[in-house]
This record gives sequence, C-alpha cells and structure tokens, in this order.
Amino acid sequence: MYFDCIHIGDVRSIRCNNITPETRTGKDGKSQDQYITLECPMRNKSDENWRVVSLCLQNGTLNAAANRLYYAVFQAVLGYAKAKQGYIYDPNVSAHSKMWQYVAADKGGYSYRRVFTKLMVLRKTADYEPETPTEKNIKSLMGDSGSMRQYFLKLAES
Amino acid sequence: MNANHLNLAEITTQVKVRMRDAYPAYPVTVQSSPDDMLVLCVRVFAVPENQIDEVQDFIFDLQDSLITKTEFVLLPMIKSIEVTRQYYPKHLLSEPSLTLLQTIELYLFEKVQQPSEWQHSQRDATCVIDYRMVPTKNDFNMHNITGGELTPVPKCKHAVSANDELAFAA
Repeated sequence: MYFDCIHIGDVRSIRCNNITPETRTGKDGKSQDQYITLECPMRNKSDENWRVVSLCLQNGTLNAAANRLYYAVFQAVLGYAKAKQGYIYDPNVSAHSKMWQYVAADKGGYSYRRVFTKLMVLRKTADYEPETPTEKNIKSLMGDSGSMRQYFLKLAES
Repeated sequence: MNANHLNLAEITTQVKVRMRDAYPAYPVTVQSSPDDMLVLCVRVFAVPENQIDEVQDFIFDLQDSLITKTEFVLLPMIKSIEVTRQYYPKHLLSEPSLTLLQTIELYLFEKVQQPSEWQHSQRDATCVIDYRMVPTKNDFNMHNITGGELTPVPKCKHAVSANDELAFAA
C-alpha cells in the first residue's frame, strides 16, 4: 500500500487505510512512519514539551517547567492558527499576543483565554522576572492546560 | 505602529488609574513585555496571599471591559508580599510612603547637608533610614519607618516613629 501524503499549507494530512507495519512502506521502500502520526505538524512539538514539563517538575527545574508548559499549549494554538486561520509568521508582529487573539476569537476557545493568560504570566515570570514560579502554581495550571492543548490540537486536525 | 504607541500610553494610564482606585495600597507598574509590545505586564506588588486571586480577577475584568477592542493583552503579574520583599524591595512600600521617604531624604540633606540612605529591613516591612554624620548624637538615630504594616496602606502620615523633629510629614 502506498500512502498519499498531501501538503496543504503547513498541515500534512494523509490518506491511508488498514495501516499495518507491513504496509508502512512508500514507493522508495523507506519507512513512512514519519507521515502516519503527523496530522498537525505542531502536535509532536506540543507533545514533546508536554512530556518535558513532567520531567522538569521531577527534577525541580521550575523555570524550565513553566516555560515548557506555556510552549506546549502555545504550539497547539499555533498549529490551529496555521491550519485553520491561515496564520503566517510575521517577524514584525510577535506570535504570542497573536495566539492570544486567536484563542479569544474562537467560540469554544474563548473560555481558555484566561488559562492562556495565566500561562503567559508563568512564562514571563520564568524567563524575565527574578523570582521563580512555584511548583504549586505550575501544577495548578496543568489540568486546564492539558484540556486547552487537546482542544486546539483537535481543532487543528478536524 | 504609531496608533499602537498612542493606545499604549492611554491604556497604561487607564489601567493605572483603575488599579489605584480599586487598590490604592498596592504599588502598580504597567510596562510592555520585553518580547511583545502588545503584551502589557501589570505588576502589582506587596499583595497579601489571600488577595492575589481577587486582584488577578480584577485585571482580567479590565481586559474584558477596558481594552476588549484593542490588540493589547494585560498580564496580571501579582507579586506577593514575600516575593516583593525578596526581589522588589523598593516596591514594598506604597507610593505615598515612598514619597515620604524622598521627602525625608531631602529634609536631611537640607538640615545636615549629608545624604541619607534607606533600606528595607530583612525581617519585616519596615524601612530603616540611616542618617549619617549627624550633628549631634541625639538629634537623629536610626529611625524606623513602617511601610504601613505588612499590607501597605497609605498610612504614611502615621508611619514616622521617629522624633517629631521630622514634622514635615504632612
């Protein structure tokens, strides 16, 4: 079986049926695994950061945990913005406030705007302020951040 | 760009005024984020732990009511008393208290022709002014000036516990 990989903007979608290990081979005989799970190219980055948050918390590296938590959600929103809103990075406009606007403008995402704002505060504190975010503060945002991340990843892939 | 710049000034003023009206005791600064001009960091200092959520919600409401039709984002960066004491000691006192301290500095300079220094106590929310090279031993000692208890409230008129030679406090 051959997987037909279609590039639409920055989103890769695939058409495939009955995926088995044996069928994961393209015309050139190389593995096509890389195409199978990449519905939204930002999902892997978001997932990676999400996993790193837990590692950072285990290690007590709270600034890094706060930073990664923000980016785990940011990249999910970015994936949605690219896939569904035609967002193109403009070096003259910061992507952070732009993503906030996308969150606030989305009917379902509107309720997440305060979560996203809190994550921005967390990241600013971790990156620029002299104090370190508290573990309690980071953990208190994990639940809502996870929901928000999944919401926007699904939107991006819908 | 210019429009944003003008809006930035207006919004900064508006946010400060609203914050001062609602929470006159807490020092507030409003600045653009280092990496995003449209993100405004609203830093509120010396907020007791049990007030942090309330102040945060107030700023969220400002976002919804005051600047909802702009591209600006307000970030409520609420600093507890402990964080303020440790990292932002100059903001431990409310603005009236800071003004008072500056007045004291000026007074001392005129009276004894010597600069004075002040610093926050490591133990509590007091501020110790060091009047160096004073003319007589008893005229001036180390005087404690409270920042209005741990919750900074504009009590600066009562803050001077020093000899009332410093009767300029009004």
